[in-house]
Amino acid sequence: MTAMRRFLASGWLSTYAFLYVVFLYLPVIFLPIFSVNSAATPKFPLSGFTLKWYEDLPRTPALLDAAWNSLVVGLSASILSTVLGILAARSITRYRYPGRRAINSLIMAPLVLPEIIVAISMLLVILQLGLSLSLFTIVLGHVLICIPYSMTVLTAGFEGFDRSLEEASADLGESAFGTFRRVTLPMVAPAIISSLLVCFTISLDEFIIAFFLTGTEATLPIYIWGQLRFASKLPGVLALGTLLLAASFLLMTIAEILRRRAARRTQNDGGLLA
Amino acid sequence: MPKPPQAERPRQTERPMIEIRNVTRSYGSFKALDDASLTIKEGEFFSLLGPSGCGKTTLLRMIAGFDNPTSGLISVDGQSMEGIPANRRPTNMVFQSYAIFPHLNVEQNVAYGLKRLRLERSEEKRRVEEALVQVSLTGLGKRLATELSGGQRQRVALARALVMRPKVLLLDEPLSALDKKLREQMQVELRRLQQAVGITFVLVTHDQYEALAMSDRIAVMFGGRIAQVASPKEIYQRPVNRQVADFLGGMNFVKAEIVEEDGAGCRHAGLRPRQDRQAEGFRPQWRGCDARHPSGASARVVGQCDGEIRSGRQGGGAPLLRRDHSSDR
Repeated sequence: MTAMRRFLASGWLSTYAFLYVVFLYLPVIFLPIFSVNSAATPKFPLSGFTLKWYEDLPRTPALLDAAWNSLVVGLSASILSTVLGILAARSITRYRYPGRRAINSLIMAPLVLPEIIVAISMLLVILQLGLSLSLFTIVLGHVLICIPYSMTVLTAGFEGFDRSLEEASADLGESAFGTFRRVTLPMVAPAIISSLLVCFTISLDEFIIAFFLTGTEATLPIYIWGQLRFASKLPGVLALGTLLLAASFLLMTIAEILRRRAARRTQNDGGLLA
Repeated sequence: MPKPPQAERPRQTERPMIEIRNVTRSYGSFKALDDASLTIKEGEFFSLLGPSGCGKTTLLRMIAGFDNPTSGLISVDGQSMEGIPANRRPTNMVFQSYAIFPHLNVEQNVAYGLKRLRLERSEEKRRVEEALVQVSLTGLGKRLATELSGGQRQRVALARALVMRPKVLLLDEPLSALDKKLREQMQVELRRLQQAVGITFVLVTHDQYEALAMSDRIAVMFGGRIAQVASPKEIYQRPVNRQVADFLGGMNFVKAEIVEEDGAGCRHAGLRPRQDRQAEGFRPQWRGCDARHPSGASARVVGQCDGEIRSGRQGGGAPLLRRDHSSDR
């Protein structure tokens, strides 16, 4: 204990923590800085402030198409994986049956599988099935990798959901559907919204699977990757990247706030164990 | 607790309110409840007492409709409950965890069941207010469940059930989560509340003092079977067997024989069975194990104590194991 305290006092630990944060976020900070720099090449010293890279963005049809595609894919993938996640999370938290843990692990596995392997395997299967590559196949791939995240968020929301709450509702005369509408849904709504946001964010940023499974239509990350071949397009990419970064950050923050609120709600109930 | 403003309800009567007929609940080969039969009277404060796993909660949940008997019949107010789901039974329950809806405030929790009845707004408000008065929670209607103490949550759970005006109120270990002082206070309040509203209360508890203090009658249960159904006094003074006597606590166990002086049947105030004239135990506050002849003739208890003798009498000297009796009781 005292050794630990001396170590802390020596400042080594805080230096390490500082460097860690710098390495983690310095590159990310460069992105917005260079995106408002008037020079076309990202290097110091900065030549002047401009918003023209941002102003150019809406005037690029290919980018708008990609953004629209990303929106469609993101919404579809997040809704689909959240619905599937609700079913799985409910079954895992509510019922006890043989193989429950194994099934849980299998659903969570895509989290640690190399994405490129998943992408290649999916591509092989889809081609074998004779499906043509399109936004729909990207959605399928994204659902696969989103479900583990959706499950994590939803399980946290469902766990500790006191079963006696639903019994109490029935006891007070409410039907099964009424109970779902008046008790279950309001209790888990924050977790569901949080899951939608997390999945949307993941789908929005995902590159490898989208790259393998796309047909002719590009999503935003694929569009960005395509633009990187042209040096002159770099500032626009930086501006777009900054926007994506901000959107992701915002969505994840909202998702986390909602997830915590859901967990607090369900776990605080019961009174005697809280 | 203030007297409730609502109309007087029927007091305790001899009319059966709940009838349990040969009810068995099996889970595979395990019988959680084994051929239980019981009649609970209207307006009665009835307790199901026993150690954990004795089947008392299983029985309560079957009365509420959360579980169904494997065989046997449960009826409430003369109506068979077979096939009737929990939401259509004339019973309401106070859950062990209270099960207060955390996304609703106190008033909304209490009004939860009333919403289904589609009452006039003013009538609903009046009944919620009345229920909050009954449980001494006036002025806390806008509080969220998360802002309440354990005791207050319990009162909300009580009000939420009572506002439905059930024929039977089921209480599943309602006091187990409270600290000792609050628990004793709530015992008194619950008993007073029951007498004020006149509803049949069925309480599940593993706390023998709680059962003895609050109930009109108690069913003592062991291993899925009902061992004895009687008034608290009867159960304490005349437990049917050693197990019941031991569970209620404080019993001195002896191996003794009742020696009859004149050959006629005699009984003793300690633990039965009387048929084979074996005295088995006595309570600490009694002078000892004694025998009494119905006609007043003398009888004696002769035997040996199992272990240390607990005595609740002060200044009364050592408890007696051998005592001649005429008719001093």
